[in-house]
Amino acid sequence: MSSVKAIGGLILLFALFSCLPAGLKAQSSSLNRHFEPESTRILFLLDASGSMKENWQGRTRFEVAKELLLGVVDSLSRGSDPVEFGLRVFGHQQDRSIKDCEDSHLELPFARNNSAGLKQVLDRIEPKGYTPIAYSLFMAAHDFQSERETVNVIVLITDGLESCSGDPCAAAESLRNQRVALKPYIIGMGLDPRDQVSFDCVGTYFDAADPQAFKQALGVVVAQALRNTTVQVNLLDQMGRANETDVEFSFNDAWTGEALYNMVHTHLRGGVPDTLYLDPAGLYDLIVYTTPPVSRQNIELIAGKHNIIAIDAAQGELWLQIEGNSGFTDIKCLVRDPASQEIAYVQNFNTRHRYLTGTYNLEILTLPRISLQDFPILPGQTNPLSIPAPGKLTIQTNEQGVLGVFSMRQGDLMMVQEWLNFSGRGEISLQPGEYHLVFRPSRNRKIDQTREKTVVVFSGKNSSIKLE
Amino acid sequence: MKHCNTILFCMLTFARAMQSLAMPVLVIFLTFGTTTLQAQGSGGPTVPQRTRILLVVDASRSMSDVWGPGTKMAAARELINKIVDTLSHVENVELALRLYGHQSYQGDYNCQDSRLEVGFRQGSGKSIIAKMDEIRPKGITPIAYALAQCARDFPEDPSSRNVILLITDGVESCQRDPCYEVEQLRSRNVLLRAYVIGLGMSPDTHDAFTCVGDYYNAASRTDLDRILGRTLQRILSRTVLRVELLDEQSRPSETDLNMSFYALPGGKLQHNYYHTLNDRGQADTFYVDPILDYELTIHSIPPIQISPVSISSNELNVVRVPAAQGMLRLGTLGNPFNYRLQALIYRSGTREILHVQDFNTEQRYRTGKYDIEVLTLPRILIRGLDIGQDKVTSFEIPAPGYVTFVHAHELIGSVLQRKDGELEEIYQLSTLPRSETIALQPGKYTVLFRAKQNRFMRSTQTRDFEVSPGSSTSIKL
Repeated sequence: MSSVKAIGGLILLFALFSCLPAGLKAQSSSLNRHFEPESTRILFLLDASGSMKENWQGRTRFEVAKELLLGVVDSLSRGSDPVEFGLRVFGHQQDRSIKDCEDSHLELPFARNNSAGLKQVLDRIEPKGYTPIAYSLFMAAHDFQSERETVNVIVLITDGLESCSGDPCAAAESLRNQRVALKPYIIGMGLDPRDQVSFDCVGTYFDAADPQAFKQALGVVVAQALRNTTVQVNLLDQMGRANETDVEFSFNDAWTGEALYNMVHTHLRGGVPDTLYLDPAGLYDLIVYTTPPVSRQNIELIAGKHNIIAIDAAQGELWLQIEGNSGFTDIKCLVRDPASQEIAYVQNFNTRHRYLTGTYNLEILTLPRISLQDFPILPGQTNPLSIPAPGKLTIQTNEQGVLGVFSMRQGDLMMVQEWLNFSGRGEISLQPGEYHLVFRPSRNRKIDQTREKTVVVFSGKNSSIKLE
Repeated sequence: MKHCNTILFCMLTFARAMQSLAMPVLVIFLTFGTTTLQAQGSGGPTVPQRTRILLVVDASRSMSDVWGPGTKMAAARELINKIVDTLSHVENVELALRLYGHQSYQGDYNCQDSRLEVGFRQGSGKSIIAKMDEIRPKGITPIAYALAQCARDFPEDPSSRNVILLITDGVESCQRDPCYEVEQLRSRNVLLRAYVIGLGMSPDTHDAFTCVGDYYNAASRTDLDRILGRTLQRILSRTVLRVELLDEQSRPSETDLNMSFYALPGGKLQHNYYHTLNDRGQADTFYVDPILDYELTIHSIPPIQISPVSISSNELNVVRVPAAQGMLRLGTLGNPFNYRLQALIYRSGTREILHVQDFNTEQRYRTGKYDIEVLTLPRILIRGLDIGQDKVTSFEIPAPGYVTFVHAHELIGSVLQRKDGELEEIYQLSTLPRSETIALQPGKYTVLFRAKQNRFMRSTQTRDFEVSPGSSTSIKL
């Protein structure tokens, strides 16, 4: 019985799918992404290696760190910012002599208002072991897992260098590749200046030579993490002013190429480009869909700041027109990049399209074709180009044969169109000018039966010719 | 003989007239006759074109030197007697005589000593012979000046074949360039061709005259008849040409291509024929003027140019041109497009358009590789498509789906193609409120748009959609 039901369900499902319009499943797009983080999550990576027991102006480094951390968390928990904290500690489970390079544990998962929990955890911890920084960073990726959209921040608090063979730089980069978290903030407690540079590739380093400096650094880091990261894309005109707009653009993931945010650029009242919010924990490629497109690779955002990304996008409009009221609209113009010779756009006549300023090679698919080399598109204006309307030529014959239509260019015949088996009546739309019709009936197979007729085609007019 | 009704008849007349010349000429002539008969089979009679031959004759002091049994001047007189005698029977040929070096003495060094002594008219032969008898060689050799004056000697008549026959025993003595003057005459379409007969000149003069025209130096008086025969034949004969268009196995099986023959130098279009195979299955022949060289354009795609095509007189001339062709058919899988779809056919490896072919048509191309760019949305580019002989190469693309975008307000938007998450803009929507139908190749797309009056980027909307062949849908924006 149940199997019959299942089959019935399948059939029903199938029927539902069939009702969808054939070939097209329009849906609200996953690409329609707007970054509106629900909250900010800060993961503290706290060093509890043996060296943290050392005296730092009257107390141990660990005690100083513990106290200041609790202070910050406590005050933020009382504030209105939607913020969550987590704590991962390393070097606290095994003694230094055991050389445990995987001694790292998420002691406090993310939650709101958990300052009491944090205190309990910190009170239990006693520094003793190794400094597996890279391993801890790798593990942090799992700590952030969530369905919600959040800004993820790592704050690494340490007094030493990596003591295992791990590569903290690679670990930090991997976090960014996966868009898990921002570049970590590192607060170094009394580190030798020579050792500080080894953190440059990991993230943003703050030096805390003493407890007072540590307190300041922590305040700055948390404040930065909580501020919004905003982006303004300035599309520059030929004068370098952010005047260009109304162009589609995407922010792509620089690693995967996936288009993450897609927008149509706009100016607010007053001509300022609109601001958007982006996840600061990413590396982006910006692609602006001008013709041809312009892009900027590997954009790093500064978290908590208003980032201005400027890109040259001076444009001019090409207006293709057919002279006269002819009814001919089915004429295309190939617009080629003169350097690559590739087609930048295929523009229909009687339309306008914007191009980056510069010169283009145009090929108009009239009969015969019209080629314009180095056609200039000037910035900030409409560049009109008009061609005469074609005329329609009707060719008639009561014989059958091979027929060629030729135009004369600088004394040379150029084939415009050919029919291997022409008979009866044919029509061809030609640019105004003189044409040579060459016809040889297939009946008598004599080369000197080739006949030539000259016909003049006038713009927008019909003309006809008989091949007899 | 007043009129020639057929080319063959004319030739027989001409042959009789030529009998007064030496034997070797006759041998060549017989060959000519055979060819004529062959041409007759396919071509039919044609009316010989009016031909004007300007005899430019050296009468400088050195012409009185002894050469063989008499003087060089005597040899020149005999030569001209033969020319007049031969041509007086040929319809449509006019002669004129220009001399140089015959008025001033050598010591005067007159570089403008040249005069048209007998102008072009019917029956000018007697006057020419009388003039030749009358003059005595005395001056220098201002060849370039004499040639420059020739421009006015020919009556204005675009249908006339104008030829210069220069008879000389020396090189230019006035530091001017005869080649330049001839080039001027040619470029102004005054002259078709010049022939130069040298009377016992030293071999090192060869280069000085080859640029003037076809140069034959008679080492002795006995050479002269042979040279004259060949030259007159060249000027007066009508030869036939067969163009064999070869397939890849070098068989002359290709046909139905237009061939344009341009005169060299000058480039004036002389003949334009559609190639055909006659009833014998051979490439059909046609008459060509042997005093011209040609540049031949065969209007295949891409065209073939051959330059120069030289015609030898009195022969069947055969030009063999590799021109293997194959057929390309452009079509769609499933229903054909309901609008005009074009494909750009490029020379392989370039973006040079050789032809723009409509879909659902066939077109011949020379065999080989081509790049093809189809103006679908998005465009389809195929590199190195091989078009082979004796078959139809079919190139088919999937049928598109039709998508109608309906928007009631002004908007800014584009259709982008989605490939592995990456986007590429392929079409810009019209700003104006309207419904706009476009044909898209099967695939995944995103339309990205924002109402024009909305000033916030957050109001940007996207719709993902997928197109399958033959579908038809509308999307409200």
